[in-house]
Amino acid sequence: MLTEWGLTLSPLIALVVNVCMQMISIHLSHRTGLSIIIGLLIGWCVALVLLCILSNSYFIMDCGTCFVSYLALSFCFWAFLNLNITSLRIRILRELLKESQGLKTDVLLQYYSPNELIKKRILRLEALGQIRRKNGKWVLHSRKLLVLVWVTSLLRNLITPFKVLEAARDADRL
Amino acid sequence: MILFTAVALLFFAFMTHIVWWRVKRPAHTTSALLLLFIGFFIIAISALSLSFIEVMRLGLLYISCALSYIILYSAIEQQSPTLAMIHYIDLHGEKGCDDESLAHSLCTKSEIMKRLTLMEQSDWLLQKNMRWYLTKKGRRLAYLFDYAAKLFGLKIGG
Repeated sequence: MLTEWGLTLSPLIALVVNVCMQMISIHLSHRTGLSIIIGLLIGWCVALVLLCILSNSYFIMDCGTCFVSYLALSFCFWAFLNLNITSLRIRILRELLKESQGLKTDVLLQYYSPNELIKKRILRLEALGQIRRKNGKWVLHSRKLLVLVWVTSLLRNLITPFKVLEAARDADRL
Repeated sequence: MILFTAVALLFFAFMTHIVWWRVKRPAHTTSALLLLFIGFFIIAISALSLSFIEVMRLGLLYISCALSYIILYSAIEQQSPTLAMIHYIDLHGEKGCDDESLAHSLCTKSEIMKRLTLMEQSDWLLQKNMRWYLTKKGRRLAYLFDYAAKLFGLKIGG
């Protein structure tokens, strides 16, 4: 019985370890990317150890179930962290938290001017090695994010093709 | 069996999602997706004779994958500025593109207004006398993310 519960909860236990290790490593190393990877890998190791101890006849199936659950849960955790790092909406919420008198629209537009937004994203993409400068212009250095562009575009066409058609029609009209 | 059941459930839920969105896209897409995925899960556990532990295992696997998709859906529904930039730079190939054309083609004043309007519709913000304020819901979210930022050592982004 305990074995069954252990196997069932192993992805959650691995996630808790992932989160704790991320917290410890960020405060030691001050590097967000590295701390996320450390948390993920250590959580993965813990899941593997638990599987080796608890699983018997259906080791491959248990591995599959556990790792897919762990990866999906880790993705949710990473997405939660990523909202703080990249989301404009979350930034606006946190800025408004400091301002009990609220903020005017033009002040918000000033804080988050198009140039400011582009600059932040360019710096982030350059630091991550996704883009680089060549003869004073920006070129792609890595195709990893491009894969995400293609996947989301494919899914967008699949799920809301009419929206895509409307956008194409509007683009033609312009 | 749990893995196959979860994969099958996710597949059928996703197919239903595609058909539903093509017929009539719901106004509140996140709530609709949550309802859809949870609905399929409830139907599955009612129809299959699973033990409590099997339901827990299936639930953990299925719900975590469903939540991952719902998170990804926000990037599918509306292309993020970062991905739009990557796509735009890629279109220029090895010639590259300069800062001005990148800024001109991508982010405009309307991006911020779009986000403020979406946040107002989601009851995170309200506008009063030309000023924006947090609602109770918005304040709770802001505290959550602020606390998470301190706990996980994250700098303010955006």
